[in-house]
Parts: sequence; structure tokens; C-alpha cells
Amino acid sequence: MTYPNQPWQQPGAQPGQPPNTGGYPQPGGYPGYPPGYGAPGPRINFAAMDRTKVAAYAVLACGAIVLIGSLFALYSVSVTPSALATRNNDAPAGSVDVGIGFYDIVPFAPPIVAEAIPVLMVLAALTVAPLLFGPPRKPTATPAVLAGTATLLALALAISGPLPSVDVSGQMAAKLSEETGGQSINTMIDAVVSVSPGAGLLIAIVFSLIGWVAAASLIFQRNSPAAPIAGAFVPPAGPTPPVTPW
Amino acid sequence: MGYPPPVAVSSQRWLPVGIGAVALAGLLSTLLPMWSMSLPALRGSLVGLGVGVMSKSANDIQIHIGFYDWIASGRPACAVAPLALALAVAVAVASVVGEPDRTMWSVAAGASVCALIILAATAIRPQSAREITGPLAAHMSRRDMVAIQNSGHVAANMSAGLVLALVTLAVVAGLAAWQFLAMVRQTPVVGP
Repeated sequence: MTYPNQPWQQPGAQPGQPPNTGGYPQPGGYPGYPPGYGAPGPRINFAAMDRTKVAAYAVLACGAIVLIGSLFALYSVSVTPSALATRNNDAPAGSVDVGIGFYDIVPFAPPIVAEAIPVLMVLAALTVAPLLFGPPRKPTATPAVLAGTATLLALALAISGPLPSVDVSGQMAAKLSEETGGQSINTMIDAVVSVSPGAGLLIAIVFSLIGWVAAASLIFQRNSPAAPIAGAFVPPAGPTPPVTPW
Repeated sequence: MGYPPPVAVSSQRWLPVGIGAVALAGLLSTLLPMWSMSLPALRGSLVGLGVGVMSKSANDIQIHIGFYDWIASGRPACAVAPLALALAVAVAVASVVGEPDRTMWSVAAGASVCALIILAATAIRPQSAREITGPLAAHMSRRDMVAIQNSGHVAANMSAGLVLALVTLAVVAGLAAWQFLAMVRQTPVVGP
């Protein structure tokens, strides 16, 4: 992506010069500067390109880590029968620990949303791969969108547990509270069954968030040359061709 | 080199942020219960026999089913709404952070419309219809017929999460399509 033949002189001549943070070189030099101004283009561009590559590698690694991490538990459920505070609870101490996976079939299917998380992250990693292994090209917004969707879904899954909530009313409630000493059925369920996000879901949250930030930094770098033109929303009139996706 | 009219500029400013906010609110609303199902309606069905329902009055036990619960979250109808809303949030964030990209908005609008169709159709008719005809109906006792017609027939009511998800999906679909069309209209101005 560098332009080794592009002449540049006096790299440290202008100390007040804002560094060029463009993620890719703009062909034709820098339109805002008069010719011979001496912006240290190639060297800074090399650093920026390196940052692009680092971000792209980070997205790639996050996709792989989330895919591998999804083989671990989505929720870890521990059932403790002895914790039920009823009158005649003679259940022995101990608990049953169940790890609900991302791809289980038996005894019930996990949310489709959970299975979508590793798929979305792998897609984000694949869409970032052309930046690394192909000819130089512009970063697109696709990896950021895919990783962001995966992050939000993982957060939603972690906030909401897999258990439905139950309300009891009428005669049944009276009978139940008489038997259990005034507890509601939800507190009883919470006492016996404790659900927490499993290792796979925690890995998915952390690394999809990292991947989202890295992918967003890709397009943020791309957009930063347009930042000085504050009043206009359109891309600047520079030599950058307008993006026409299709 | 020309600039789009100022109206378009201002709408381009607030619209992605607004769509992102609405979609995020919709995504948070999917954490609310989706259906409330009253358990006495299960009486006579296989599930009711398994649970051992013995309640007398109606609406004794209400089960609130959410989008992410193990009861229903394996169904596509529960999965499409969080997917489409999270996609819309991510597109809004990407277009605020980076360069506006109209393809992303078309994808977000399309995903929202698909989710809206599936979710609304499920909300209208969530259970199968059954009918007994012919000599079989004459041979069956009235009680058996009721049992067959009511098996798996639960009194499911829409809850807040489903209604809010439907509303936000409709709003997101409309606004994202508007954003897409606005960017299409601007393209000849922006282009070379």
C-alpha cells in the first residue's frame, strides 16, 4: 500500500503539521497542501497501514476465538434440590450442573440467536480477510456491522436468562403459599435453579466486543480525512472517488 | 462540485442516530416477555397431563415466554426480531462512525421487513388449525373431539415485548428505507 517512489523531503520540518491518519494512501497526494509542502506521507502512511492490518488481524483472531469458544457452554445451570425451602424437603445436598451449549439438540434447542453469534463473527473475519491477503483496498463497513450485531446479541442473551417467568394467582397461589410459607414461585425457582452465562457466552461477549471495536476503527480511519470539513456531510472534493457500492 | 440542499444534510445527520436509538430500544424490549400463556388451557392436552394441572379457576398459572427462553427461542419467529434490530443498531453505529453507506441501510431495511413479516404472521396465527370431518366425527364422542381440537391449544396472549418489537421493527424498516432512498437521491449530486 505504500508508495516507495513517491518523493518526500524533510520529514521533521513542520512540527505543527497534523499527522495524516488516513488508513490508505490517497492517490495524487494531499489536495489541501501546496506541492512541495513536504507532508511526511510515505512513512506515516506505512504506520497507518500497519494499524489497519493490526485491526484486521484482531477481527480475524476474534472471529476464530468466538468460533472456538462457542464450543463451550452458553449457559451454565446448576440445580440444587436441597435449596428449596419447603417444610419437608429431604433432598440430599449437592447439585446438578448442566452446561447448555450453543449447538445442543437434546433436550431442547438453544436460541437461534446464540447460534448466530459465532456465524456472524466468522463472517466478519472472512469479510476482513481481503484486507490482509489481497491487493490493497478500502476497508468496508461490513465487518463492523457483523461484529456489532454479534456483540449486541451476545449481550442480550447474557442479560436475559433461558428461564420463562411464572405467575401464579387465584386458588393455586393461596394453596402454594400455604405450602411453602409465603414465597412466590419465582423466588423458589431462583433458589433451586441458578443460571449464569457460561464460558462460551462470556468469551463471545468479550471477543466480539473487541472485534467490533477493531472493525469500527478500520472504517473510522477511513473516514478521518473527511473530518476537517466540518460543515458538510458529503465526502470531500478530494481525489477520493465516491463510494458507489452497486 | 455541489452540495446537497440543507434539508438533506440535516436529515442525514439525525436519521442514523434516530434509527439506532429506536432499534436499540426495540432490542431492549425483546428482553420483556413475548407471550403470556395461561396454563389451565393446557388441561386435557399431553403437556397438561405431564405437568399435572389441577387448578380450578382460569388463569391460575401464567407463564411468560420471552424471546430468549428455552421454550420458544428455537423458533425462527423468536430469533428474527433480535437479529434484525441488532443489525439495525450495528448499521447505525457503523454509519455514524464511518462513511455513510447506502447498501448497509438497504440490508437493514430488508432484514427488518423480513422480521416484521415473520413476527406479525406468527402473532396473528400462532397455532395450527384442526378439524374432524366425515364418519370419524360421528363415531367419536364429544369429549374426544374437544380433546383433539384443544390439544396444544393454549390461550396465548401477546405481551409487551412482542408488541414493542413489532412497532419498533416497523419504524426501523420505514426509517431505514427512507434513509436508503434519501442517499440514492443524493448520489447524482455527490457523484463525479
